Amino acid sequence: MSTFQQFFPGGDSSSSGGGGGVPATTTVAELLVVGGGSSGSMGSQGPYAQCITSQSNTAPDSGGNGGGVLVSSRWLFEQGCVYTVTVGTGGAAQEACGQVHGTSSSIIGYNAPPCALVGHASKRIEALNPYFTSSYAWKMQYLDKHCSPYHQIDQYTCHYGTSVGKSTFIKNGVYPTYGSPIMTICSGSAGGAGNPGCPMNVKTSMVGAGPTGPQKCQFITSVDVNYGSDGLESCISGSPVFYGPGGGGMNPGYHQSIAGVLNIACPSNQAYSGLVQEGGYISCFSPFDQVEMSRPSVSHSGCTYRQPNGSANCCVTAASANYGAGGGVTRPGPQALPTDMNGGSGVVFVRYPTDYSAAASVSGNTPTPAQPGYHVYRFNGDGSITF
Amino acid sequence: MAHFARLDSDNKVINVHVVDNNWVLDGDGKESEAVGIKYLQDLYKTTDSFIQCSINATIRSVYPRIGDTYDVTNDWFEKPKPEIHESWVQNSSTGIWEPPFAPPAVTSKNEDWRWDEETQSYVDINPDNIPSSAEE
Repeated sequence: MSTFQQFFPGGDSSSSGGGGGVPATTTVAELLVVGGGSSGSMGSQGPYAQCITSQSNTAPDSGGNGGGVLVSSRWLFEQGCVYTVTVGTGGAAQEACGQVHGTSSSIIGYNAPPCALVGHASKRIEALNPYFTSSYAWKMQYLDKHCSPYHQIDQYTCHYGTSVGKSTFIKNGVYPTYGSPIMTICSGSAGGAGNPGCPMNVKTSMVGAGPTGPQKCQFITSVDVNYGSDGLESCISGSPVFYGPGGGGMNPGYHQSIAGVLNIACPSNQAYSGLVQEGGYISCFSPFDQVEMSRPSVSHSGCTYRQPNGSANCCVTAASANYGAGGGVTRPGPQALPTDMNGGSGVVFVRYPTDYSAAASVSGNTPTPAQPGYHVYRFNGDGSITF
Repeated sequence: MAHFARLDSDNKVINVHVVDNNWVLDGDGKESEAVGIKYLQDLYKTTDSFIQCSINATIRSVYPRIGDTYDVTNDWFEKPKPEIHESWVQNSSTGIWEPPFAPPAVTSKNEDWRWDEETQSYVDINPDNIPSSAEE
């Protein structure tokens, strides 16, 4: 049996969900399918920012991408058929460089082939930097992108991909302890869902003779700055909620010298400088370097902020479950290793008018507030539904 | 939410599933790993192995990602050794990779010790311990 016959037995393309007439045996439903969010992107567990990336990469200590969001205003489900619902998990924090993407969410069954109703996890594309030769400062260099581009399933159904926020270059300077000259950058972008594309634009230049010469360090020459995205707003739960918000970056300072890039880690010198709240802020650790940018407050994404008492500790809010939220990045305390944070799991909603019968059977669902005129099924975890 | 790692025949994690807590309760209303495993095997019509994990790493050492390994003997999940830290050793109690020796004691300067693989030593990176003139 072909894939087409498996999911559209006896039918043709005109019978696929969302198109053509509505057979009497179908239930027309709205959908929201949100993939799991990525973990935050750790900067370094060593004294130097080994994980810093170049050539259109993700900066260290960036927030994780939110999960991709599929929205359908009209999908035709065949009554009597079982549909399997998978809810994507958030990416697991790791003790290594880069984000860990979550997994995709989906609804699969008759008229819903595996490729169709999917809230995609962001993807990671990775390659070693061919110019890496230093044995000291640039241990790991990735071409690191996290994309899940927008695409349209049919006229009623679209998938919204994920994007990556950016970081910012702050200033040149001298840092005698670690060599001279230096550049100080403030990193920690916010990831996000809802927009296609994932440019990063960390640009670097070689020092000395280049990759085969005596000085092999790269210098950051500029890092673009931009916001992560808030994700996509939906009212399918009965109230407006953003799904797939990006996680907040940590906002460390980076001092780069001949010797390498020093990861300063937690914001310092002033309370709430460089706070990263709700995946919405990026700024710097020092009052001299203050660059603070915000975007609309988005709940549920992972974030990191400094305690107001002036200590060096960072407080952490984990990404909430079931919003497809990106994770944050943190260093829990002076003696704690920096680490990225888990991404949040996804969620699946199915909602349709009470003109249709309630689902014949459902498993794995989570109770959700009633909405007059609708049957609403929420899946915070894997399950199934038969219309 | 209850989380379960799906394993291949080599105990590699091939997926991680999330299940609503209400669907992993036994007859006494208590969360049961066995109930959750049977639920997932029935849902996906598979005999694959599942084992419970925790996104907060409260059980089995770490929250696994795809590609990690479940250690049957120690009953924990293991992540690969960090590539940038060749010298790190596995903690025999947790399976977590750590520097080969503990950092120096923290003094009143509140040092922030980080392991430097190049020098095989700890480096203080607390910005408060850096002279203010260094910022200029």
